[in-house]
Amino acid sequence: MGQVRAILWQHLHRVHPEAPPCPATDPNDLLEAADLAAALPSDENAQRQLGAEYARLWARTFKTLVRHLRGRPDQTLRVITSDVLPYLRNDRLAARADRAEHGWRLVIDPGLPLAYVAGITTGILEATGARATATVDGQELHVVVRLMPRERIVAWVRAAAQLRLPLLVTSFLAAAVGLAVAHADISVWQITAVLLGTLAAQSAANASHDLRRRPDPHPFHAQQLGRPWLWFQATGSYGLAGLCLSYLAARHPIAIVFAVVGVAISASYAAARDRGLGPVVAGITHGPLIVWGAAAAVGSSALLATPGPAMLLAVPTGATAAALVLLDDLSDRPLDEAAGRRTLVVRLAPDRSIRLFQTTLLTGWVGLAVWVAIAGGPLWLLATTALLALTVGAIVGRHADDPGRLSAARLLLFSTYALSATTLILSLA
Amino acid sequence: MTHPIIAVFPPAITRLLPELERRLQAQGESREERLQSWSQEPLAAGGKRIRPLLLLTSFAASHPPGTEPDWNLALDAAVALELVHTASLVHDDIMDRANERRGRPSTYAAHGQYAALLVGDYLFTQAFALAATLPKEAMEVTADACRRLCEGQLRERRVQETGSTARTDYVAVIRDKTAVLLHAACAIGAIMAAATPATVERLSGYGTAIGHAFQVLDDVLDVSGDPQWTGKPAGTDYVAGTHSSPYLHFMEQGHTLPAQRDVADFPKIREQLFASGAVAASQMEASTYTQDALMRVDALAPSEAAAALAALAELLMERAQ
Repeated sequence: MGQVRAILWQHLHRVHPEAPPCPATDPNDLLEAADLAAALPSDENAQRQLGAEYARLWARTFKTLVRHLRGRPDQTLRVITSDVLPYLRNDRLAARADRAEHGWRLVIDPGLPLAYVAGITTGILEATGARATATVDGQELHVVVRLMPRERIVAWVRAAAQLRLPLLVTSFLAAAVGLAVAHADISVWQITAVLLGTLAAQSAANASHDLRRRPDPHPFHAQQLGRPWLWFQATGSYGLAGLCLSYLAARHPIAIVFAVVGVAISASYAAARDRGLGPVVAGITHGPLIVWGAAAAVGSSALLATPGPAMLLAVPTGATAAALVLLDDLSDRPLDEAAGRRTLVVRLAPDRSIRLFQTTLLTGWVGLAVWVAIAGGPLWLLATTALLALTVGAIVGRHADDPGRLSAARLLLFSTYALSATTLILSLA
Repeated sequence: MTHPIIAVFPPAITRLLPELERRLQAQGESREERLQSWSQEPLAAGGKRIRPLLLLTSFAASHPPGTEPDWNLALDAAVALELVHTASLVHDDIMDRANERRGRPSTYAAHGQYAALLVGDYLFTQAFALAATLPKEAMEVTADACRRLCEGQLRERRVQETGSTARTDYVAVIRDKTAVLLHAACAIGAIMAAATPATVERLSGYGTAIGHAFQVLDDVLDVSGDPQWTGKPAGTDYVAGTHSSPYLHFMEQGHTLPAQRDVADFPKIREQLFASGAVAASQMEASTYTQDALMRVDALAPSEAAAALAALAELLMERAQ
């Protein structure tokens, strides 16, 4: 019937002093599961309560992880079935979670009463802010999870980030800034080709990155889309980007140079991110590459001939995009660390990561302010951007370990990016 | 800025630290000028003074509510234990031929083996001279801790020589090396407050549990921590052939490690340790010890000191998340 860690018995004795004392002193010692099962209260409700109480004790020792599992029931269940139950039972195959209609099906190794395991499972899910029920069905648990409103917002923001929607929009806006440089001289077809081509290239880069990335065996890692879909997305998007490039390059061959650099950066992104260079690459891509590339693709090479303004124009979008990546990494720090991914934020101590984020954000805004001071532009938008950036900086400074507040900061930072790009476009119009 | 670990302790206890430092330095005094200078160096090298802080906090947590604790004798007990700890480190550096301790040259490196032996002996003697003024049970716990330190040192050497992968050896080495002085600190604190045997057992068990959790997390950080952050190069256990917690979990799953260890192979091994779930299992192991510590503290009468002990256990776990 398998084994269990002594801590479960010690916990039982602590909650129910009338239960027999644990025969082991070391809480990590292994005992016969059947012996613990015999010592547990016979009432199923009491077993559930005991399991849930143990889960609360467990959660006190994983506070950071639990905070980062808020709004992530899939990953929480994977942590339970891949780490928690296997460790408690000393069996890697002690539990398995499968998606089922309206929830998950947990196949549990026999040995402990399922009501007790159900209590542990729902207890951990509830520690992450979800409301969960676990119904015993034979040797399986049917788990239904309901997210609370705050956790639901966190989940939506994360889902959007996972689908890379923010990256697509930020690329689109950076390209629009580049187009604004040459606003008077270009056709609708050119505008369409640049914007569509940029979106397609970004989508292709995202899919290629996910395809090249080895499936991460650690349950803390986010699930990714299936490989067939990724192949379809990569080839289809590259095809579309290629068509747009052909159209643009026929008139302005310099577009090919930017496209080649873009593909090279995309190919090296995973390696760069693992070396802690993710924010730098995002900054270069959303700054010089897309902004200058879009301008050059429609024949506004004059911009590139004047290094000062050209550099300045690339700073707001580039630095804010780098800040977006840093914020994503800050939010994912414990999960990245647990999965062995060495992003820049994982490499730096938490307080240095926060300072770096705030400095990057400030750089973006200062770049925008200098541009507006030189080229003119709507001051009310500049002021709104400053307000948003200050709010984001303050949230991250005070709540860097609270993923819920970081999700709000992500939304605000994304708005900061959109407003910065809009300010640049209006100043060029 | 106050270290996060120090910040966990109640102000009523941390404000005793200057007095503790003064008494420690006084214990380094000698009629022989050179011995005094050598002895006071390791005592002045700093450190977070976790053991004295734990002793004083356990003392406060066991003290009957409504009465003013007598800190004077508790401070002497804390000084005696820190002297034992410092003496053991000075002797450790001779055995390990370590050149550095707390970012400074070790006594062994700065003044040679002869001086380091003398300093260790002198500090042990001072510790026991002070412990002799404490209640008999506190003296016995101090003596037992020293005995176990010696046994633990020898056991660790045997484990290294035989390349033992037995979990019992791993646990015993931690119990007698890392955890023993934390166990003693909490036990002596409770004894000094004339606590009941049940409270002494709870608190000494708490010390043992956080000692185990601390060591297992240290093992995890040796695999997963960034050198810039931890201040230590990654993979030292792998290169040294030390079978620490993640490697034991890895091997218990049927995996093998190369006989010849090269630091260049570490990134690949590290990846395997994560992929196999060995690192996660070690985190769970540390969590289990922390749960044990929390259950013991939760059983104490509620107080600021008891809350600080719980917060310390939780904070230690945060290190590796």
